[in-house]
Amino acid sequence: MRCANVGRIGVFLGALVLSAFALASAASAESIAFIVNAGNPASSMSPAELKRLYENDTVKWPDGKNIVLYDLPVKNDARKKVSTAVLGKEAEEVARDWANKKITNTAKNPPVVVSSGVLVQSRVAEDPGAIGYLPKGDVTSGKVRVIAVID
Amino acid sequence: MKKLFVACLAAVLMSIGAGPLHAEERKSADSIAERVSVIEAEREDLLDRLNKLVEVSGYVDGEFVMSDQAGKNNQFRLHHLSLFFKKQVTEQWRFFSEIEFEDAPFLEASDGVLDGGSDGKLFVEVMTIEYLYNPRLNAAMGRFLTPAGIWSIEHYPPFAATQERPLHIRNIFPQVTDGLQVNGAANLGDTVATYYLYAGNGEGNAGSGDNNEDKSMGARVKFKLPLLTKLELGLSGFSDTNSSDTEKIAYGADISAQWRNIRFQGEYALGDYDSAAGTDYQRSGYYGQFIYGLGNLDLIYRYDWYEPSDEADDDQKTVNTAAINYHFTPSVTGKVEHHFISPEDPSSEDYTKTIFTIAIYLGE
Repeated sequence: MRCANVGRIGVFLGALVLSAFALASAASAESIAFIVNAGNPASSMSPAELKRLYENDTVKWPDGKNIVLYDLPVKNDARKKVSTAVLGKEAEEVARDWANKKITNTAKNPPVVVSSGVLVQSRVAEDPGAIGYLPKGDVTSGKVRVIAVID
Repeated sequence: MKKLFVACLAAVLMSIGAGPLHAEERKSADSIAERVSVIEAEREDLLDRLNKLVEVSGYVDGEFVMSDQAGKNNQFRLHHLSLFFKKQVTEQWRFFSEIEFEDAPFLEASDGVLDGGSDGKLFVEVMTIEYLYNPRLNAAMGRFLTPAGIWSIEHYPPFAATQERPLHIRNIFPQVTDGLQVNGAANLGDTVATYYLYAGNGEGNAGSGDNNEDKSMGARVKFKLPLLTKLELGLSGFSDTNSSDTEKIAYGADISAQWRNIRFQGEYALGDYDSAAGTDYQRSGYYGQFIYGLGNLDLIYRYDWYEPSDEADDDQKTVNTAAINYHFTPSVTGKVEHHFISPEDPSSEDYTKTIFTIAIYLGE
């Protein structure tokens, strides 16, 4: 009886571990959508163009409007994915780079870090110059437009 | 006809019955909409107030230093407490300043005379008033870090690989310039070109003025190329005549590259000194620094060489550095660095220096 119970516990723990792994894999596998305000004329952006925005190199839209960048917290899965896929660096390293730019007064347009994709979407929906990102499945507002997807 | 009458009567009765209910819901919805509108307005007002505040940040670091150099003791060092103040006054005007307290300054005076026990350094390292015209053209007036090379600007302990700077840094190009700078950046296709032009009072002058009529002038250009994870190439130049009539012209080249988790940074600088007394000499130095990143751990190696004067014998020095940085968070870094210092002078012995550091960035 005791052996059977130990066996059941083992199966349960194994299933738990596998589920956690599957969940983590699913989270990192989720596509990330970059969104702009629906009134922004930009229809699409390449990863290289996105990189220039999030690396302090491009600060204005082609029409001269200031770009307002939104970012998610360093520990956020979407942020981690964007950092490696678009910027080629770990999210923590990108955060250090921005802090270094701020401390040297060379940060021309640092991103505004907000706590969740919900806030990213609501801010971008209100601001014609804003751009941000969040899991693609969380894009629900008709006031924003998806201009790039990171798989 | 009867059916029509019944339908009309039912519609009238329903509207009469629903009337008060609709009115209540409408009143509640209007009240909620008004409250939301007030909350949004309060949020805008709060953000506006926050944006008008002076932004304060900074960094702090503490060290334990061990050295086998003759006459040096192992010691704790309260190396830096630096405060940064920044205010975006308007969209075009910005103020930025760095006040540095080095080695925990102790100053005590009585009757207007400093007591002999004063120690440490209090330094206004940066103080600029900036006009941001557009990304291609901005101006800054005040004291700024001399735009020459990489380490001159990017040297802050929470983000620099080592506490010890390469030997030639601040010995060829000056640390700071009091004057006027214009700078900007432009996209040339996929390449980003950044430039700095500046003029100032020159080296060795206090913030209150210039000891001679000659003004220092300098320039830097940097190209960020769309290659690797990051590739930046820079050139710098500087000229000045000091109050002893020694003319200096300095040149520099630098590179910063990254491919995945491997980073390389290198600089070369050459100063040409032409004194009125006829003693001409050159001063030069270079370093190459590799960083291999393993998650939050950085493994670092640097080779450093410096010659204060090509006219002097045996004054060259080389330093081999091995270091480890651990980034506890993006703002907190622990470092261990070990330097093997080798003077060329045969009468000077080689020695080592080991520094253990915790450095914290106090900003956002």
